[in-house]
Amino acid sequence: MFGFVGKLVGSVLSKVGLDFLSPIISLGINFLTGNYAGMIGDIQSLVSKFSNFSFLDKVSKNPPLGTFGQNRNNDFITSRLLNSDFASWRGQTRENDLNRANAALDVVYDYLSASSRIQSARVNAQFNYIAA
Amino acid sequence: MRQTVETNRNQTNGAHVLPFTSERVRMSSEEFQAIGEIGAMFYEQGNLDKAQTIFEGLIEIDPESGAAHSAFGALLTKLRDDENALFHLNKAVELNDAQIAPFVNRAEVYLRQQRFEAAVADLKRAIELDPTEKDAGANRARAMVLGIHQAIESQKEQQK
Repeated sequence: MFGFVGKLVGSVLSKVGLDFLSPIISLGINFLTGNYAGMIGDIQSLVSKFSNFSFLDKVSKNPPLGTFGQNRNNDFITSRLLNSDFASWRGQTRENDLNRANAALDVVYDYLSASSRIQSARVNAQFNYIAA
Repeated sequence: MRQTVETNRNQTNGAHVLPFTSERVRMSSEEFQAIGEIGAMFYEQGNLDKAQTIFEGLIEIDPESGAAHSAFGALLTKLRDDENALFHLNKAVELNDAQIAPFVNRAEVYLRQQRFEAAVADLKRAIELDPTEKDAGANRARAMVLGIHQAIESQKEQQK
């Protein structure tokens, strides 16, 4: 009995990387008890308002981050930090004993340095190609 | 004279405005956001250690950043560290209840904890915040709602 329910629920949830929720939803509860009448009403109301199911083509496969997860242009992100004063920030984190902030700045600085080296290598390669 | 962050927050109901995100580390809101986006890049690549280091660091720089708490809460949700995830997701909602992501992720944690009514309330809120079905996070909420709906319908079928 529960296998049938689980399969149906799983079909939607696995598509969007939420298959681990399938047994919780299908086995964890008998929705038809009186305790969940309000909740069932909410669910039915929400589903009735879906325009169609095309939203399934644009679903976050991971728990969404929010504001930080909106931009996907790495060059643009990097360019905004190229002139930032990491030395000054590090001084302030040390002064205020912000060890986690300091660790974060290290990770970001290493990333920017690596990106910068890659960018230089690209430019050099292009230059050498043109020169040849 | 430069306004303090606190003054700015009071005037903008929690939103960050220039010039500085934090008094402790003087970086602009734009720089703070860019660092968060590098954390997001690591997160999407599956490099969760580096993402975690960045998000934790941003929270230390600005403990009142709803965006930083939201991002760290998402990462902890992915790691299924539910207790700590709830702490940061609750904080994110408290700081800015117009963010979709913390509602979606808190609903996921609630579902794992079989707190169905609380989960549905958060899913409803996330969906209401994205009426045009464009936000991938809100669409994740819609998928969860659909999953619950299918479970309910299946149980009804089996009772006939």
